[in-house]
Amino acid sequence: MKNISRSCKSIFNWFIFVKIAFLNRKIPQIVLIDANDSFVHNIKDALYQLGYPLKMLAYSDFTQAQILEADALIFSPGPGHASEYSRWNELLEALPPTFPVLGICLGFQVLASYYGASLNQLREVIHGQNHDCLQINEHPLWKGIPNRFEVGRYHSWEIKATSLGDSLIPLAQTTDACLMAIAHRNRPHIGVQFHPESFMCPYGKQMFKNFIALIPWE
Amino acid sequence: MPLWQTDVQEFYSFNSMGVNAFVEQMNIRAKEREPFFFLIDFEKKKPLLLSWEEAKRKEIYFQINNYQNFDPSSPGNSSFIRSQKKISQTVYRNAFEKVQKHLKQGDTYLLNLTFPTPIDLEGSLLEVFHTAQSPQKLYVKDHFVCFSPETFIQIKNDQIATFPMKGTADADDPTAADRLLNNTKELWEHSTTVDLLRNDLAIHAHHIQVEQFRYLDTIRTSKQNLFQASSKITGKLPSNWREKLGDILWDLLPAGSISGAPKIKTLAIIQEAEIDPRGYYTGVYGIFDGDQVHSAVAIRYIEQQGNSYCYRSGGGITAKSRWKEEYQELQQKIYVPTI
Repeated sequence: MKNISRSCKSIFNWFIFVKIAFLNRKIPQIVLIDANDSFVHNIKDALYQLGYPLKMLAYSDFTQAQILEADALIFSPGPGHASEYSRWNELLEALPPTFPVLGICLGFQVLASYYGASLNQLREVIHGQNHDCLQINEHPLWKGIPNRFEVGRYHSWEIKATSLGDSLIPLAQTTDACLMAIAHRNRPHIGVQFHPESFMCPYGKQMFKNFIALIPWE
Repeated sequence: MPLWQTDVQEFYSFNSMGVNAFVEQMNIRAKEREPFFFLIDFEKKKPLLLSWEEAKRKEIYFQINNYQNFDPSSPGNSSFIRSQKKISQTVYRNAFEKVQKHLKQGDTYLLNLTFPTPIDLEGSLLEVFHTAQSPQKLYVKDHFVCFSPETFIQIKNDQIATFPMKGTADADDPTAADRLLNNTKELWEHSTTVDLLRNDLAIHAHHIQVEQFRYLDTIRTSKQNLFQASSKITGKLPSNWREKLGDILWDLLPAGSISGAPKIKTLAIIQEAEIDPRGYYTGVYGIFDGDQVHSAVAIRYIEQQGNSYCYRSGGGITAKSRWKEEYQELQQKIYVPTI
């Protein structure tokens, strides 16, 4: 009996410790996995301006434990094809379903294909272009953002809107119906094909703010 | 022998500093507010850090805005490019197609492809240096002369600024400025460079801003006048930036405007597509005056190879580029600025 009560007590103390450690954290910890991209510091600066530091880990050597220590995750843009990034699929498999994830460009394509959507090579590659984007479903990501807004795009692949399946909802598309954003029906997983960190995306910072508002960190 | 094939120590008796020591030395000297001149090659293998006097003794002459370490009153004869050969269209096209394949794959969004063109000079390299009218020029005896129109970074009062240049047009054609500014291919290429340079500044700075977007400068040359489109991007540095200056510079290189995005993958493709290493061409050079930093991208560059010369030039390739136009731009950029 004594032993049990001691171990109960120590577990209780441990809970107190964890709770205090948690409450002492003033802001949610956001971690980004960098797929050797050249726009990740733009993401870092956008979050910095919102008051959130961003921890950046290289795609080649992040560990699942490092991600689980944080409160939310961003998959970066990057070169190549979504199928080359199997470590992200393994990570999605391991994360609790409530863990917030934002995928940008390549990260969006990996997220969508993880949930079964398929990729299509664009007939015309789009790099460095700004286009109008239209909301097609309501979502907290669009808080404070007009229905039609400008975005900056860098991609040569797209997610086929017809391939989304049951778990994903389309959130936005271009005027010529190229899929621009998705969300998972039950999980805080969001993906955007465009680059919210680009100078061509005037509402980008607001979108990061809206994503951060989804993080259940208290 | 081209410069990149030799050990820099042979030429400059540069005390046996590796890259780490270079960065560390720059940090120390800038913290001590000791002025210096620096030159870093594209491949980041042979950085030079010298006092202004040391540079002069080694016959390395620079002019960077109002800073210079040579006597401008001894120009000698004026010098210019007498003739230029053309690089083979097949060689150029092969490289171009390689890049296009990677652009379609999504491996790169923008890649700066460069080639050396053999030229004949009227006069010596030093005479070209004195003839060239450029706010930012550099002469390295027996190796190269460079008269860059492109400012790399300036750091003043804890603010870092960069001025990436993308887009060239014939300024003698009255419609050229409008055509350059309304050309969507040029706009997209410039926008990609702006996002890349915003990113690079944000490695060490914050609150990055695009202060000016696609303004035009006119460059007068012996052949024709050119418009060049540039943007101004700024950011705030922590007030102790001088003690980290070596790291800040190193992390910015190679410069985004002469490499491409995403940078790491794009650099590997450049190595695959170009015929030789670039050496100091498309590297950077600059000065620390004890307080501020002024620097330029080493473009518009004549290299001495034994008794002959070549002019290195290039341009940004995107998925929308056409090889003939890019091939022409390569030649259009072969000039000495004269007025």
